[in-house]
Amino acid sequence: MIWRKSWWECRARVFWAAFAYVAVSCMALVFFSNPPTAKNALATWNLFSILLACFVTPIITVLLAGSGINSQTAWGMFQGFHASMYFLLSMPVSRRRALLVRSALGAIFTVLFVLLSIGTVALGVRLLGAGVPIARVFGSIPFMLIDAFGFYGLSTFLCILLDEFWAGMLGMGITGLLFGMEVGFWVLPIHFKPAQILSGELFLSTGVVGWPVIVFFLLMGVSFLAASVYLVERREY
Amino acid sequence: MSSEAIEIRGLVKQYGNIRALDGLNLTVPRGALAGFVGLNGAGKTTTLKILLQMACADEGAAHVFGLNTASRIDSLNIRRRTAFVPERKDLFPYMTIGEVIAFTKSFYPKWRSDLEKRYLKDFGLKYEQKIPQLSKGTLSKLHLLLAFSRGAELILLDEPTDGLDPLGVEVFLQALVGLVAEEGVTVFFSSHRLNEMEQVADYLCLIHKGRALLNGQLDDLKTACRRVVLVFGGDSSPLVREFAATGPVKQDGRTLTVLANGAVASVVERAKVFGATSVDIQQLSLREMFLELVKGDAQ
Repeated sequence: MIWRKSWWECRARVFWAAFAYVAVSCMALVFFSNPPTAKNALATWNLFSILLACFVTPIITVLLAGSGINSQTAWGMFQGFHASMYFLLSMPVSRRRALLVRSALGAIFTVLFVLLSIGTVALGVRLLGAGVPIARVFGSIPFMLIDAFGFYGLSTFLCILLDEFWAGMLGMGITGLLFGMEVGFWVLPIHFKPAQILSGELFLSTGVVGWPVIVFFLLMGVSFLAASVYLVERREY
Repeated sequence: MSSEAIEIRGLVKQYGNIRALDGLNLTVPRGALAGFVGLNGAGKTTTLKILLQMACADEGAAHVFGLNTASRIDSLNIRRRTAFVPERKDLFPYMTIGEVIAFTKSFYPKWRSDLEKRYLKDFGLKYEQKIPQLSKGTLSKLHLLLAFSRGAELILLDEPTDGLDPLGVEVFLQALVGLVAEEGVTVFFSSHRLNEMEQVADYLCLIHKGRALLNGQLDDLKTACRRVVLVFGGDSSPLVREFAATGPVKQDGRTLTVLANGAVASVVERAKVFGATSVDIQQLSLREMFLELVKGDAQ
């Protein structure tokens, strides 16, 4: 039943994530609809994959991480948690289980949307005959999942720490910062361009695996999820 | 097996500069219908939260059915055997009454479908009603249904009649008495409605500034705690200080009014020795007792 409750809490967010997915799909079709040359198509793919890694995925994770184990938080400055928390906490279910079930469900949908986004891109590439090797599109899956995992951990932590409004704002802020790094607002060496690594672009174009960034994002996911569990278990309501 | 449903020893809880609990000691025996009274901010809600591990005590210990509320495993076992109606009664806004009941039922194997149906009817609730559309009173009724139908051994209620209409209050009080008498459930409930509490409670905990002023069988407390009105022929000032140790004392001319908490006989004896011309021992209602003790403590 705790799964069903999590689904009830998650379903509206899944709708918004689906909206983001449809938007990505439409963009993919536009991007790949008329590539004049193979070189341009590759450049388009690169830009698109970066957009997917450092903009769409974080937004989906912020949406799906939602409000942690809280049913709902009011949008506004420090509105606090919904009073149904008292009811939930009086029941014989551990806080860890409540959070992990909720996070697991959000994570399942996150994976689903990442796969769907990439699948749509692959379909677009295939149908429209854009000059991007299909293996390159699918090769980005593990990197994109690591990207989603890191952001999902961060989003969960922010949702536990802050109320939904501030968690969303901070999540978007971090996303904007990352996007700025990628599009060259700051001149950074290639190993400091996480989205190029996490979208698989670096690996597929040069054969280099950006391990530091990959390990960083894996650690980010694990440590933020662990911190969320720690915080939820010790927090007073 | 512990004979006490709730046992609290030296509980201290500090929120910043505010000392919510200041060495609270109290017990509630199994099968009691115990009232938990105190002013706003006296520490009632904090105590209930500590019993369910929503808050942690800084010092002291609290046990429910002999299980330590500070232990995570014990707390899960406590919550399996306990029902709680919180002060803030919001429920999951995306559910209907039927869905909240189904959700709650899934955690309690001893769920009482007969009681669920009875209270649905008595409280006028319908499965298909949506939570956001419920009034404050209806939410209270739903919370009571969820608490009473769990098959719990202990029911903790924080201002359960908040928002209830007179009929709802009547159904609630009858249900409480029925649960204690027929099912042997222990009830520990905080309320500001002292007249109603006096109708049904057989045990009382009076808390003030985070400490228990009274804790025991209500009848025993009412026997022990009497107002003694003494009239003296001469000046009774020397007795004021002496009686102040017993309870609040008020002097009005030659009349001395003493709240003798557990010391009626000795107060009367001392007054007679001092030449009291009239002694009137008055029984107090719960409300009067509460006001006298709390005002006396404030002085």
